[in-house]
Amino acid sequence: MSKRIIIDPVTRIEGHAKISVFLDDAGNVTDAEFHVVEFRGFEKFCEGRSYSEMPGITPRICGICPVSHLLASAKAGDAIMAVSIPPAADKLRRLMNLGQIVQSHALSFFHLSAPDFLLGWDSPAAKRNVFGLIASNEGLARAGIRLRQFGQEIIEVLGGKKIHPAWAVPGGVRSALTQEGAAKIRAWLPEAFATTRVALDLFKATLSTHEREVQLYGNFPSLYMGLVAEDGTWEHHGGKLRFTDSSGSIIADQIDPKDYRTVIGEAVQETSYLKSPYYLPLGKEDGIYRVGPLARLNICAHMGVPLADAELKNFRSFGHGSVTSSFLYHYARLIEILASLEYVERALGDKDLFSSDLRADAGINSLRGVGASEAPRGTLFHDYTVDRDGKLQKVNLIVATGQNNLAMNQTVAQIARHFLKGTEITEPMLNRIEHGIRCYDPCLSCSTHAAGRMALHVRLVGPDGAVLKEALRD
Amino acid sequence: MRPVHEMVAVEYYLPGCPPPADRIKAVLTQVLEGVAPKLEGTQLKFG
Repeated sequence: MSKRIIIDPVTRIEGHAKISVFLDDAGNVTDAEFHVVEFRGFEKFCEGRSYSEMPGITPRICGICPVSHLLASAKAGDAIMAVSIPPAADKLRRLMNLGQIVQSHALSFFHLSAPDFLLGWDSPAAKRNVFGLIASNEGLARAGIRLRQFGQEIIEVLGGKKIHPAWAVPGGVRSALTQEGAAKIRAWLPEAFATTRVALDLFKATLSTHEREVQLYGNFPSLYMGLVAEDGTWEHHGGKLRFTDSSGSIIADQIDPKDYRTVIGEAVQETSYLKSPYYLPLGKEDGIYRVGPLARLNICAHMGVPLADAELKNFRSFGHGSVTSSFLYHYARLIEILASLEYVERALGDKDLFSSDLRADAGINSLRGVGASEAPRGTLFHDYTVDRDGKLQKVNLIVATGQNNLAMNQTVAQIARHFLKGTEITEPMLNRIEHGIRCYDPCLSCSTHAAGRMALHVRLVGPDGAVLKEALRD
Repeated sequence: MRPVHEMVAVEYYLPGCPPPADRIKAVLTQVLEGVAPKLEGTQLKFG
């Protein structure tokens, strides 16, 4: 009798998902799938809207990473206008993106993921969350919440509000940094650095007692993709696409994001609203690639700032060429927070941030525009086709989390294979499987736009289709 | 597609996408004090 184990809903991620694990007659794991169970449909209902509205509409895809969509959308609009935006506007957009990386990664680490490895896989589910963390280590929990707040403050200082700021537009941005804003950020930086240092020390100590997790939580060969600068420096907003493989070799480089279709194919899954991107030249089976912090650190030559580069060196010691363990996404996230803080500190010395030269002015000069930016979770593409009046005819969104879809499936299968024994479904075991997903810090509200049908549920199902057991989460 | 209030009984509406933190705090504070929440002036602005 084979079975299917299902986890539904998956908790402590952004969005709604379920996990299915398929077993054969002998009780061995044959396959696993991560399904996204929400359908948003932005690609469809944005048809007919004006391209200038899109930086206002698309951030509503997500409450955690609206800035990603704001910036990618504005960039697609820049391309439709066929303008180079004023340098000050680009620097300001970059500053907001750095703030976003800090707040989003802090949320992932402290609120969503750390409860698992700090409180333990076996700790009671009711307490294995940020509230449990507050109870057991209030100082750390507070510091983590404040670190997130710091990132949000940068966004608010620039855009007027923390979530969905109406700020970046096709052609530039609407307002500059003020002296008061700069002073506020500067004053808060030392605390942010200190908290990040505490988190880094904590996670490195965790690694020494979690070797098994490093080995088994999504540790497999894959490609890695993201944006890099011309000289290979870590990028978060500009630059061009690079693909590397597990040995660390560059297999494709300096690809203009507007040509993403030459390197990225998309497959639609029958059982999920998530599309599955893959590296086109290698096909769907061999073209699996990962994006996000792990990938960005794998593909770059260096971070470009000293403290983060020192940590990068240590990070790289966990792999041969590339770091292949998804558990180390958590470490990569912390290194990116550190780099972002260093870049924020550096940026605050630039007088351009106070400039009033913030907008390029133009009409519709191209009927297609692609804007790409590194969201905290990975590379994001907004691809707009418009008519002569700027009304959208076609919208294609390739979202960070979607690109990790194939990798997440593999991760669930790997963890289930090692920790699932027979038909015994224990709470800690289910949590391990869920944690495999949390390593990717998925943003599922962002990632579901393909039309499709899918049921939601987690059950143990045999090859003959008989339901053996249900493992439900409330 | 149906709006939330057609499916679930809704007592109060907070304007904003999202409603600002201080607006949420103002309403929750009144509820905790046993007062029917009331928003006035700029607190009624959507954006």
